[in-house]
Amino acid sequence: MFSAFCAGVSGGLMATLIGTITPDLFRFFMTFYLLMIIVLGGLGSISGAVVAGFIFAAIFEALRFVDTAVVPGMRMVVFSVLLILVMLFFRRGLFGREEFTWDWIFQGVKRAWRWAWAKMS
Amino acid sequence: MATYVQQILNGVTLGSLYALIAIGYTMVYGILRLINFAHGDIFMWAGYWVFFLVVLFHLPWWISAICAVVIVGLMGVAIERIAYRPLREAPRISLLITAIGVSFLLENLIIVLPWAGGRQKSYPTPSLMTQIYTAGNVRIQGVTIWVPVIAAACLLGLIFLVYRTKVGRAMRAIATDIETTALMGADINRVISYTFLVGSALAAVGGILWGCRYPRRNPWGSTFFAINSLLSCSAPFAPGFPEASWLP
Repeated sequence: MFSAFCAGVSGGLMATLIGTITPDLFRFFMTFYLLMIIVLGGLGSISGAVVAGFIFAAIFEALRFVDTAVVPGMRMVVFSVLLILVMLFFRRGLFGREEFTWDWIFQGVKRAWRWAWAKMS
Repeated sequence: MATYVQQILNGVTLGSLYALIAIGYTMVYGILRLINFAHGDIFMWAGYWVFFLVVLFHLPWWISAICAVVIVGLMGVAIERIAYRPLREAPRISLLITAIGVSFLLENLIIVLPWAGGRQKSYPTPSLMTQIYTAGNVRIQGVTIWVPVIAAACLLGLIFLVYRTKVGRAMRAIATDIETTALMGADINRVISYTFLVGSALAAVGGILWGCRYPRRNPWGSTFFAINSLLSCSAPFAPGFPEASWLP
């Protein structure tokens, strides 16, 4: 129920963002994109999926300069090559099963602090 | 009556095309348990190779068709080597994602290539295929006759390969249990490469004949089409029945 709730919220927001709705809005490619985001973020990692979603959208738009610089359509070629490479080298996704939490950040800061302290003394 | 005969022949033609493409899907699924999303684009590339070889290199149609089948078979092997083999031990879902990535790559490569582009191209078709035969009220294009014949020949060849050769036996063994087959000393990677070669070559035959039947090429939609063929032809046999999924 909760997952359907999340999907509903995103669907409503997306409809207001795009301004039109059609039944085939979420066809094959949307499913593909979502699958990629989830697996890139790491299966079973909720925050991983969120972060990967942002990264995904950012890369998608950042690569637009390739379209104008080389040939229109080159962006998707570069993008798919990047996708394959990431999948080959980070096969568990960017986060694995880990979560991106405050605890994790604090631990990281603490560890870095201790490491720096040890270096200094 | 004439309409019935014609439509039945059309159906047989379309069905044999679907079968040619679905076979590659089931072979890969039976062995790797992977839905090979790149298969539809392999099929699409076969038509484009014929187009390139005929239009750019001015080869005769038959030679370019045979060359296209060989090239596309090698493309299948290369895709397996680059995108699937490094992930043999990884979770299945990562394989699925690289398959989608390869599919995107192949589709967009066609769009980027200056000789192809995103616009539809007319497909070169030999006169044997376009010739129209008349029997009473029934008018049949040559392609309607040739497609089932060629498809049947290919599938008979496949049955021979799978049931009468050493590689075929290894394929069936891997489809049943990949680890045990590796323990028995079969070279798993070689057999999987053969599987991709044969599957892609059959898809190439399907793609070339599809081009003759519907003589225009565009890079889009091949994935949908291939999923169609997957659902219609091989899904009933696939789950839990690797041996049955081999039967065309």
